[in-house]
Amino acid sequence: MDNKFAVYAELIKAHQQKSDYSSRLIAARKGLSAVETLIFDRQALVRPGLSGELKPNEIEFNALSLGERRAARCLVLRSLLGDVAFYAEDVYQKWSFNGGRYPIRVLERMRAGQTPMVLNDLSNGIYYLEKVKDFKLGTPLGLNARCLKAKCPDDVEFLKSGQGLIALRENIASFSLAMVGGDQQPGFLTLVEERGRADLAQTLRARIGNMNQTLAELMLTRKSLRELVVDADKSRCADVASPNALCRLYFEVAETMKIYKSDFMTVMNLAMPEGETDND
Amino acid sequence: MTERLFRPVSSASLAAYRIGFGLLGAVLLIRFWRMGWIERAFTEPKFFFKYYGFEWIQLWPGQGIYLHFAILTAVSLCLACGLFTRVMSLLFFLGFTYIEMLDQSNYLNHYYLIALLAFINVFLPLNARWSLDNLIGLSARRDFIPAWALYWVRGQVGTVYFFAGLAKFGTDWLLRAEPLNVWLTAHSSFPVVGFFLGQVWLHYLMSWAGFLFDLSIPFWMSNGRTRPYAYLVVIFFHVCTYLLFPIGLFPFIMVFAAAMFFPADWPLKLFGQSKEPARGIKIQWRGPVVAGLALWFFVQWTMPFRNLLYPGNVLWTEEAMRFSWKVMIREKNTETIFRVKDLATEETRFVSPSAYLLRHQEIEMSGSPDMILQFAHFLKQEMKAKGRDVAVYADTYSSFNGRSGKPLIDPHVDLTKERESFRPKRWIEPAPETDPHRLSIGAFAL
Repeated sequence: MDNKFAVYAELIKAHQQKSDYSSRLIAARKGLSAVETLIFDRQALVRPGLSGELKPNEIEFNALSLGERRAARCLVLRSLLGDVAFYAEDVYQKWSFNGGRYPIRVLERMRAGQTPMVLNDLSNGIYYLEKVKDFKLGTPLGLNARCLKAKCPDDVEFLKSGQGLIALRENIASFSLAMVGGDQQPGFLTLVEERGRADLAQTLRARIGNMNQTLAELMLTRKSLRELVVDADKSRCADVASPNALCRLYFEVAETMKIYKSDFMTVMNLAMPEGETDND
Repeated sequence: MTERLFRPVSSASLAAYRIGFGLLGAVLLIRFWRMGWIERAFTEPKFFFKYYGFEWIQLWPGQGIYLHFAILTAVSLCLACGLFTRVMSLLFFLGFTYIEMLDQSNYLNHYYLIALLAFINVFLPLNARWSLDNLIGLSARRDFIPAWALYWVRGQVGTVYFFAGLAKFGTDWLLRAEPLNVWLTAHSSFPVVGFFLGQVWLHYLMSWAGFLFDLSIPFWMSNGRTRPYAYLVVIFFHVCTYLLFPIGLFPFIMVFAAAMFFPADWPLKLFGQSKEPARGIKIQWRGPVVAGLALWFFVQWTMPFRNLLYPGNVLWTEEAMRFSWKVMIREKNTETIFRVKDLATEETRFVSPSAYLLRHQEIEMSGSPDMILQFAHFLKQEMKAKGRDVAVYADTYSSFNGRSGKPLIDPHVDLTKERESFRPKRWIEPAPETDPHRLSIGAFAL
């Protein structure tokens, strides 16, 4: 449900009181995207906005009165936000396992020679940083081949709400938390050190520190992600030494992922998400 | 020698082998269905890595691959029952090999073994007994068959073990206990034995034990006095590998195949039947059989050495790595990002393989220079379709057998100007010369 038409279809179903709120079955991120459309994309909601060869859903949407659209929007939003709250609680509960000290429990069990199987699941979650690099930074900046124009600022995440930079910050903060730890809780890098690779842990700490520093610099500008993309001078966007903070962040994330997908995966002997299969 | 090849032996062992092969084949195919691997391996990928010279092999249109699996499963069961045995053997070989040839990223050594055994099956008198062919009169029951039929299968199974052992004869495996150090340290969570799996001395012990086991087990299994004990070791070894590594049906296949080393009438003894009096058999095709076996084993015993024609460490370059029984001897995690340079505007963009490949494909490609080359050419075509003429470079960073990462591919080489061939790929960077980092858990680490 990450495109407008899917949202409209959901609205029509809500209006007809036969919605199954299919977003319940999809990832929370897509649900958030739908929430964003419903709250912030007012123009598209108020006006028909759809023309050309219309699908049956779209024709039906155009036929709804403004009041009907608003009522349907409330219904769908309430359902979606319920889902978001549900998933958020679920994640919170998992991380709060055994008194809110989940990473510590993981480490304690590691030290006792009982690696919980969730280690690989955690790693899968961390892998999301690759999407951050490719879709949230690379594509809008025109550094990823998905964008063949000079830049694609309209491809930033959460364009309508202007929350793209916040989302980026949260993604990187989650990565940092899982790797470095926080609030006196250890992270993955403690395990790396325990396996005798303090050098690798130090390298990753430094990279994560760089990302956080660059991110802080970006937050200080008080600009939206789209504005930052528009401002970026692409001709000086080549590596981690780029003077533009957003460009630098892209390459810092890329460098971090490089180490993560090679050295870190080896030390922790983790499988790539969805890559598990028979071997030889 | 020729006399030994054509001496009559009981057909019971070969009949049991046929039943086991057919059933294991069916289990393997059904497992593909159940695990959702038909979708993942065949219907979901947007791109397939082709074998050099076999680019013409294409996926069935529409839902054809499901039909293919269904028919192949039925064929496998027919083979187990011994119905139209020779035709079914041929169909199984063709059908299974087709599946394996569709995408290089699905290559597994044990799939290769199955394909080889399936080919051998076409020439064996598999329906000599306990077959529906006997029941419906398609072929007469034969209690005795020429010994070469058994020797061929034993020779092939022994080849797998011996060359898998020979492949372990290297400094990483024997002197650095890699990659077992990486793999076993991660299993320190196992109940009871977990603590020991984190100990470096055990990694060395298991490296040497695995090396000696693979190298010598065909000989222990060939000797009547050592065979029963050797078979117990075979079972123990494969149970351990099954528990420690994600190697699917490989342990079962090898335990089953190793049983072929027992005397040809072992199934009769197992079920308490008395020994059948030896009877003479009609000797046919003496010349072609001898020539065929000689050719087969010449190819099988030279193929694993072909990496010597290429410079560098085969486990790093992966040139001539496949079809040579280099089984579970390297750990390579590689990050690959492609740089696409527009030749008109000089603009550079990046492409993550995950934009086109499924994860298992990306994993396989990232460690294999020939697949990286294929994908670079694919990207060139993709960009051409979008009206861009591009050069494609690969930024790779590979951690090999526990070492710190380093580039696998020369990042300055435009891969679209390179062509696949059997010649050495000069754009592969030299293997790292540093020692692997030693991973350890606990107090008894070396």
